[in-house]
Amino acid sequence: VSAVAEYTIGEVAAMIGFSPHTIRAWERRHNILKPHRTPSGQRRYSAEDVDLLREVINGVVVRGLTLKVAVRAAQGALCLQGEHDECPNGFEMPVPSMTNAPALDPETSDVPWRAVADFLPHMIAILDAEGGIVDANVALASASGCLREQLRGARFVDFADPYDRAKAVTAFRPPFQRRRGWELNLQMPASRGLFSFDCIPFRADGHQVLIVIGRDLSKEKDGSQHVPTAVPGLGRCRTMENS
Amino acid sequence: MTGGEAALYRGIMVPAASWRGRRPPVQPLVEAMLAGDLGEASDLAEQFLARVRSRVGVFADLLQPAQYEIGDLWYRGVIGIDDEHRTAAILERLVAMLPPTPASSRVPASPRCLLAVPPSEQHTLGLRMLALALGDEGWDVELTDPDCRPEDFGCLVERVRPRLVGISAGYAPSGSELTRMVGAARAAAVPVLVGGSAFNRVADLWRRVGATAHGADARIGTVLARRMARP
Repeated sequence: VSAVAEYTIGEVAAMIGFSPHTIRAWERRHNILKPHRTPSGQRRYSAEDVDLLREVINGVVVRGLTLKVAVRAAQGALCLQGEHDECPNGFEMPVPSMTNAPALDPETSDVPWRAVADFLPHMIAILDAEGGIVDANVALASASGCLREQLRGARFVDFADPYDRAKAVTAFRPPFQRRRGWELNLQMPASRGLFSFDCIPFRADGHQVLIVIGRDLSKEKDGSQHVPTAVPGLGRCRTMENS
Repeated sequence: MTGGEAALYRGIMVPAASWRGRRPPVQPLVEAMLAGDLGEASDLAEQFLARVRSRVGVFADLLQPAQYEIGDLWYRGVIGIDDEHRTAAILERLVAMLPPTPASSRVPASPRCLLAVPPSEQHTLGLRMLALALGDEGWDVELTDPDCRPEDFGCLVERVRPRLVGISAGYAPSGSELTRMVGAARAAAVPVLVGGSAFNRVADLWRRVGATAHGADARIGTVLARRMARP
């Protein structure tokens, strides 16, 4: 085994305790690794690839992250709690209780809607009657530079540009109304600019909530797809390039 | 490919039983150990072993993540050194109590391996886990004396003639001792597998000391050892 040893998918599977099928699925679904290919097309992995996989699994096992978030954290696109005690925008966020987190199948998200929402480039949040974030998808969490769990309880209007805050408060005040293409300037650590929001009132467990879905208009104008990027200047974060 | 090589490959290609579906109870185990509750910790480890049916799976997916979590809590000042020592004592008991789970495809001909720690290294639990895991794989494992000096290590390697040398380091105040130990084994044409927190913290340390490979946990160590045992 040389310093640049390359491992087969079977070896990597044995190292991390998952099947080759699972590793291929993770590559396909989460773009987690780009293994070298032999001339015959077989995958070959480096020691660094194994380290990355271990870090992802550690994120799921020890920190209780979803697989999707653990992948992004391992790739340096998210800052984990502990590395930064508070959200980079200065909000005091509630710390998630890992011990109370539901048991997760690392293949899928724990809440069905997230399984869909996390794959979308749109920022999606569920707000309560106080305008607090009840839940959010990965795109929003990534744009805010926080973990999803850290967003819970934060006021969505605090992400609005100061000049648009009054407009935002009005929009997210009960009684909630359905709106389409409603524009708001946001100032988030990893994403800022004009966003177009659709607002959908919804009733869940007897509570009125508002689902907000935001599209980045500046990205849409130049035709590129919105991909949340790493927060600049935060430790070991690396930028996830739009592929 | 000879029969032995085929057996080695079969062993590599059969992944250890996985925890897929329900996460390993790392946080409950950490809490039990911090509370000094050996009974609860034992129950958690035994239940997990019943699920994965592999001792090395328990080491890699439960005990070592818990060990690193405890270390991390200590680094962050959440727990004191007494807590860390108490949890280390419980972890040692857990490692010792888990029954062997021989691999379905063992390495042929029981190759010998020599496992060592640098002088004055106090963290030997990781090495013990690797020793047990390699034993389950069919290796004939020899552990060196903890106070074996680097200058004597070469002679020891010459005398034992192992197929593999494993070195574990929890911390590395001086890389030179590690380099000398690795160099002594490599001079005897024996591949060297390294592991432990010192190597896990510094990504390329294993390359800098001249090791052949780095096993970040016991399961990776066994796979790499099997690969290195190939003729």
